[in-house]
Amino acid sequence: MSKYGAFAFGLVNTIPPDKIVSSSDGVHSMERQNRTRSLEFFSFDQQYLNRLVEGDPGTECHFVEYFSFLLRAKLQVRLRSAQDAEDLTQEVFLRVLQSLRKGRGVQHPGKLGAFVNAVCNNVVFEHIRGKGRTRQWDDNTPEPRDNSIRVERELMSQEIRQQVRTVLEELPAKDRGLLRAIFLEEQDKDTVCHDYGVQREYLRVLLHRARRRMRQLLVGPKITNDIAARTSWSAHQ
Amino acid sequence: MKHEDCVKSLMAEKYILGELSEGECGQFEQHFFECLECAGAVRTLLQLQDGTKAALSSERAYARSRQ
Repeated sequence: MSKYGAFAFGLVNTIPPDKIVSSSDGVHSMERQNRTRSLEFFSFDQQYLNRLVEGDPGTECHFVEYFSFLLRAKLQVRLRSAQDAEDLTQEVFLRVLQSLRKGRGVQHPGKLGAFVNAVCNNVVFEHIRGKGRTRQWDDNTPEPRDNSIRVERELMSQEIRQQVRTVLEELPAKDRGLLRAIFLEEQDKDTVCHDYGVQREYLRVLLHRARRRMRQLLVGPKITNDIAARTSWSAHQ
Repeated sequence: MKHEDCVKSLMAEKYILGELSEGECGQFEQHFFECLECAGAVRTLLQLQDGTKAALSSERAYARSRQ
C-alpha cells in the first residue's frame, strides 16, 4: 500500500457504491446505483464535512473520488506529467484531511472545493520550486517514462470507455483524426489545425459537441424521462 | 468568474486544450472547484481525452499487429 493508504486510487475503487452515504445524510445525487452519475450532482453540507473530519470511510471515499478527477485535470494541465499528477493528488488529499481534522481550513462547507483548490495550488508551487532546485544539480537525468495511458485505462470505468467509443464511432473520419492528433499524438495544435484546414475554434466546438454527446449517453434517457414525468405532472395541475 | 461567461466562451474546452493564460487558468480552476456544472464539464472532457487515447492507441496497436 502507498504511503497515502486508503486514499490511493486502487483501494478507493474497491469500495462498493452503496457504502457511499445516502441522501438523508446530506449527499444529494440523482443516481445512487451508479457512482459516475452520483458524482456529477453534488453539494457539500456541514454533515458531510463532519463525517469527513470523523473519518467516515464512505464519505472519505466519496470525497477522494469526487476531487480526484478535478485535481488530476488541474495537475495534468499544470504539470504535463501523469505520474506527477497522481503523486501530488495523493499529497493534496492528505493535507486537506489533516487540516480539516486539526480544525483548520473550511469555515463554510460550500467552500470545501475552494479549499481543496487552494491546497493544490500550494502543493504545485512547492513541487515546481523543489523540481527547479533538483534540476540545478542534475540536469542530465532523463525524464521518467510517462505511463499515463496505463493509469488512465485503470481509472476509467467500462461504461465511460464504451461511451467514448460510441462518440468516436459517430464522428466523421476528419474529426477522429483531429482528436487522435491532439490527444493521442499530442501534436502542436496550430500545426494540426493547419494540416486539417480548420480554425482553432473548430477544435473547441468539436470537443464541446463530443462532451455534450457523452453527457447525453450518460444521463440522456434518465433526464429525458425526468423531464417527461415533470412535464406530464405539470400538465395535470 | 461568472458561470454564464464560462459556458458561453467554452472555458472547459479551452482549459483542456491548454488555451488559457496563467491568470485565466487560475480563475477557471477556482470556479470549477466550486461549480458543479463546470466541474462536470471538465470531468467529461478529461474522460473523453483519456478514453480517446485508450481507444485510439488500442486501434493503432491492433493495426500494427496486422502489418
